[in-house]
Amino acid sequence: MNDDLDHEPPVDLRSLDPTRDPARLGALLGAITADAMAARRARAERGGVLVELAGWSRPALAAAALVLAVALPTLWRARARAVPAPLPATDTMGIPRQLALILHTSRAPTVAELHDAVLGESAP
Amino acid sequence: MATDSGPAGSATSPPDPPDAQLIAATRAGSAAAFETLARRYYRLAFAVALAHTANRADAEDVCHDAFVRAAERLEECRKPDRFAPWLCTIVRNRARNVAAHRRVRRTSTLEHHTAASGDDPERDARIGELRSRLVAALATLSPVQREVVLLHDVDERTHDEIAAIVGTSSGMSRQHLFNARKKLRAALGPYDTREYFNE
Repeated sequence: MNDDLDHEPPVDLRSLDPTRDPARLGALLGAITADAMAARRARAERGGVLVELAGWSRPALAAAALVLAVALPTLWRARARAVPAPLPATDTMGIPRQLALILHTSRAPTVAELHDAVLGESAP
Repeated sequence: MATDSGPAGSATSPPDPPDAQLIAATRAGSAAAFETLARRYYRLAFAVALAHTANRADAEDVCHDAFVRAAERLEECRKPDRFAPWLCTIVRNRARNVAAHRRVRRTSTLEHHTAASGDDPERDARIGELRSRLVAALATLSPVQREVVLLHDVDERTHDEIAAIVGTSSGMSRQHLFNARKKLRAALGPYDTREYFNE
């Protein structure tokens, strides 16, 4: 099969060959080389700035880490103090505090105590 | 025309100095080393660029940009012995971008302008016309057929080398070449592309 494929004669494409004009090729290669080396220099300079920044960033990051390490325990303690005590269940359910106190005692309340507990706080 | 013995600088006959040496020297700042490298691969890069732009002026621009980009990123070429396929990938990507942006900008006049040398205006005009016909005939091929026929018949690459550059098998490279030549001949008709070079 490959033998058959090789039997298609070539079309002469030499006129498309860019190396046929040595003067033009030389000019093209000269321009390419000049721009290429300039691009390499520019990249190296950019790389130099980045390296410099990286050099400064390391001590800055180390200092930030130190500050954080010192501040964290203090912040943690302050946060722990700020946490409010949990509310009693009777407060959460909206039961008047006096009534709750009566419920916790073992003796039977008087009518007046009950009246005060239920209505006393809201009475005029 | 092309033979399968491959050009100087192919895998069958290692170029001197080797690519790896030129790349190392370029990395160390040698402009001469890079120019040697560019001279070695300019025709290859041009063939790939022309295959995707179908325009000589655009192909030259693509080659320029691609070589500059390759130089800029030379540290990223981790296998210097695979410089040619690496370069071709850059060329192909640049050429596709240019082709995509150029759809409305047809520059047939530039074809004639770049063909002229000024020594013999009549001959320059004939070569310009010939190039235009060839480029028009190439436009009837698929991009991979153009790449294969230009790499084989202009840059004189072997099918094994073309397979590595294009990313196909040697057998498919032969198939593409066969089909490309047939289509080119059909597109050119009775026009003899050799008549101007038998002087």
